Amino acid sequence: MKLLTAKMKMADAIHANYLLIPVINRFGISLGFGEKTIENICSEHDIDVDFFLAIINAFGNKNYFPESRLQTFSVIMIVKYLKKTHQYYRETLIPSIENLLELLLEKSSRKNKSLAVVKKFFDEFKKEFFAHLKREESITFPYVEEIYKMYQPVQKSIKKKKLISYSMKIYKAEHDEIDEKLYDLKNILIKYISGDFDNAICSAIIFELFRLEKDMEDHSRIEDNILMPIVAEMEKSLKLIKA
Amino acid sequence: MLTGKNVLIVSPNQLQAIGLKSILYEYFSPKEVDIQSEFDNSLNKHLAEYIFLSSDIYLAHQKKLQAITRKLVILTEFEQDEESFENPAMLNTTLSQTELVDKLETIFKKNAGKSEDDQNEKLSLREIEVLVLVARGFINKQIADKLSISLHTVMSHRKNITRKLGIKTVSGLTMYALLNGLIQPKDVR
Ligand SMILES: [Fe+2]
Ligand SMILES: [Fe+2]
Repeated sequence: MKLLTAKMKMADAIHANYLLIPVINRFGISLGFGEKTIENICSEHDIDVDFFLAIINAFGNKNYFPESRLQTFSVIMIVKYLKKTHQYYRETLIPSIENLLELLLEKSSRKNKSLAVVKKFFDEFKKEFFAHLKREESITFPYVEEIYKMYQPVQKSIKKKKLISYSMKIYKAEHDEIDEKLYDLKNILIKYISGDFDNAICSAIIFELFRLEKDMEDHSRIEDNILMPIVAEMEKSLKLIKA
Repeated sequence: MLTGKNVLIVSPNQLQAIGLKSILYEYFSPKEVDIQSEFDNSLNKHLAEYIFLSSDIYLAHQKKLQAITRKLVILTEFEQDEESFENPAMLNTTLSQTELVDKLETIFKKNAGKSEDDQNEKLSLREIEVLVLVARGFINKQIADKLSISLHTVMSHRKNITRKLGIKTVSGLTMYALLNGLIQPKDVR
């Protein structure tokens, strides 16, 4: 994939990879870029352009993943981006898949029991997925923000007792993979759906599931390979854990 | 073919290694392609089913490499005769992209063992029995007892079921069983 740079027009970045549209939206940038460059738009929105470039270049590009560079950015910036991504899943992508599923049930023959089975499985996946997001938002991210505050030079002396008993080690252990269920759902729709059903809607659902999978893959990579190591380093230097 | 298999490329020439890696990803469907720039003794433990080696690395470590049971492909810069698909196979890296893809295809085909013939096979009756019990909520130990087979056998059935159906989770298997009428909703615990 073409490497995106600061002087490139934002519109061209989208032409190069349209899957970036929701990623860019997460930064609060909406369509209608005109001739503006990535750099222009980032400064308009007060976004760190290097961070923005690292995120969009790493998106879905397994071979280009500047871990060492991403690890130099502030954890606050990273957490903010991760939270925005959660919001996108919860408020946009999952509801859109849900609507399509409702539509599928509506438009297909009532006699087709298999669709209800699929819907039930999706509901299970959604429940698990949302629980995952919520856990990170209520425990992991606030913890990371606290660590960051303590890490700031002036505040280093602040008592450590307020901190909840949590660590990156725990995060690592509990950071389960939710993508297996998603994979199964996709595969079952592709291989085993049967009876009377609306093929166009079903295809659209599969399309959205692939998109979700790709986005989640990128998201988890940032959590596992960027957030965890940076915060673990901070824990070490704050002597929260034995080095 | 190469579908789902791991590959390791050992070459000091990164550009060559990356080029090969992207050809493998573009035309075949490997699971994972790792690149190492030099020979290291942990090669033995690497999961790769195919190991591509630059010819100088192969020559320098020929003895050690002979002990490795994986399929070896040596990257050369000259034309080979027809016998060059045997282990170790040779690949002339000066060929055009189309020719390279053809040669790789031949190498992979030659080495596709019998195990690949049953890739698309349907579930066996025993596997269906295991699947139904998994879908109904039984754990491996209970399944072993019910069917009077060892735990190890249950696990190997489950592995095969997952491979054949491409379904990884228990609830996914339950959904499959429901969709195919192997169980009824009331059977799910
Ligand atoms: Fe997350
Ligand atoms: Fe996560």
